Amino acid sequence: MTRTVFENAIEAGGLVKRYGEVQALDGVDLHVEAGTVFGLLGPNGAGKSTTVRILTTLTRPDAGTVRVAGIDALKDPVGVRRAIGVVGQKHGTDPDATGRENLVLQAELYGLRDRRRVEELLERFGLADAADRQAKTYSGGMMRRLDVAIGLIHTPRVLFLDEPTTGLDPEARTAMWAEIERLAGEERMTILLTTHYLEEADRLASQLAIVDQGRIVARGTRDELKAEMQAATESDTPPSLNDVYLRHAGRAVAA
Amino acid sequence: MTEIRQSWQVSLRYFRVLARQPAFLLITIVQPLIWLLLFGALFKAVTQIPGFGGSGDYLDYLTPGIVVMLAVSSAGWTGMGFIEDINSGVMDRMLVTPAWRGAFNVGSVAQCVVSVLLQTLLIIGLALLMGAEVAHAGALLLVAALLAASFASLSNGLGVLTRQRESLIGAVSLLLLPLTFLSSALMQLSLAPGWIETVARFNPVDWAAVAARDPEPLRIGLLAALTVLSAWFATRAFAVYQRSL
Ligand SMILES: Nc1ncnc2c1ncn2[C@@H]1O[C@H](COP(=O)(O)OP(=O)(O)OP(=O)(O)O)[C@@H](O)[C@H]1O
Ligand SMILES: [Mg+2]
Repeated sequence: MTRTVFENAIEAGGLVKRYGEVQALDGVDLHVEAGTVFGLLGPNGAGKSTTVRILTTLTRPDAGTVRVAGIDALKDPVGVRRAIGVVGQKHGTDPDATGRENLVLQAELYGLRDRRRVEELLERFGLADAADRQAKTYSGGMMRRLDVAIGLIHTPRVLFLDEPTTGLDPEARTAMWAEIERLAGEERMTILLTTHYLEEADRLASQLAIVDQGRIVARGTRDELKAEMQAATESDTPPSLNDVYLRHAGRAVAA
Repeated sequence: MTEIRQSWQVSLRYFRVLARQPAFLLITIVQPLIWLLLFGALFKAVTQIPGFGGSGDYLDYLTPGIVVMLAVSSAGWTGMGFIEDINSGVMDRMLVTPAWRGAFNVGSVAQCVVSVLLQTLLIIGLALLMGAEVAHAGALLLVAALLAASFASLSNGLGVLTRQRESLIGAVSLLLLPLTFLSSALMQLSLAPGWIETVARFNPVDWAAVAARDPEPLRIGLLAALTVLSAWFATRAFAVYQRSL
């Protein structure tokens, strides 16, 4: 099997998006190398979800270019949709359907008829026992796991996770981290995740960008960001990621 | 083929809701019966008005009218499902897939059409039991299906565009009665003021009411055209919705 070789799994240039008076994005550039985990950080309303919606073809930018998995998202959104998996900030589970039914519908929407993948995902996300219960009876953690399973149904090459662990208890969060690491490691998926948790970004993402008011205000590896700040502040001790974040986004965030 | 299969899979969602909520199923069954009995009693006198064409039993006249009314009013609420899907995030999760957009609408319309057809069969059955004559049962079913499909699509499109329950409730309550009463669903238009007869010519509910009693290709054709047009509108609405995201 041949696969298109591409350096960057995600390339976005000059993304602009306005909602009436609100300038949600004001020239966002992003490059995510294939096979890496990229963390998008920023305070509430910074433009993270808007960026994700544009990259995942849910909406179009007012200006800018988008290539995902080597495909132009503005010219061939359907092509991009085939290649990507999306877990939105909001739940995407149908509360009236069971876990299994949710997965089967998603498989069918991708044209997949093989039910083995459904069973495999139920198993892997610890939902096998609850598979025939309506999703509205699930706990927050189970619901989120089902969301992620839905996003993985067609084994995407590029995965978008918008705040995958918000609202999860520490144990569920750690399990989700392990799963994200496994997807990036074993399955060689490119992952872009947004988060408010610096700890999460620090652990998972090799490349980071901090967004504020629709602009990328800092980017690089964790160490680059820390070293740059240490140099700029002429400090003797390296700063924490929290210090870096506060310096760039200038506002407090849940740690 | 894929399109049909996707539409079917989407429609399963709605059929399951119907099957899992016995109360809802009960309402679907009881509602047409109440309507027939109630309107039947109320409008019994209407056929005795001098000039009311046809000497037949009032139920013969009323049965198709009730079917038509029921089809529009059931179909009108279909868009509520999409509003719920938008609020819950299910809509976005479906829109990020490469699935054909039309499948989302067709799947939801299919459920509405099946419910309306079941209700129509119930009404026909009860009317027959009550001694009425249903002259064109086949045409009645066809017309009910087309009318339900058009209004379900319109409701879906409106739901996706406004995204607000209040807007859809407003639109349905505003339109339902005028559409019904500016038609021959319950009353022969030869007895109504002239302007109503003129307006009715452009009213899909009247097309259905006329065609249900006297199957004619023109009005059935118009209903079919409206069904296609409103399905197109509902499918296009997704693109407008996505632009606003
Ligand atoms: N559909 C929309 N209509 C109008 N304004 C919007 C819409 N979506 C986002 N916005 C606005 O755009 C800005 C960016 O929002 P966005 O959701 O991208 O932020 P975010 O970084 O994801 O925030 P959070 O961390 O709270 O999820 C905000 O000011 C928001 O109010
Ligand atoms: Mg967000």
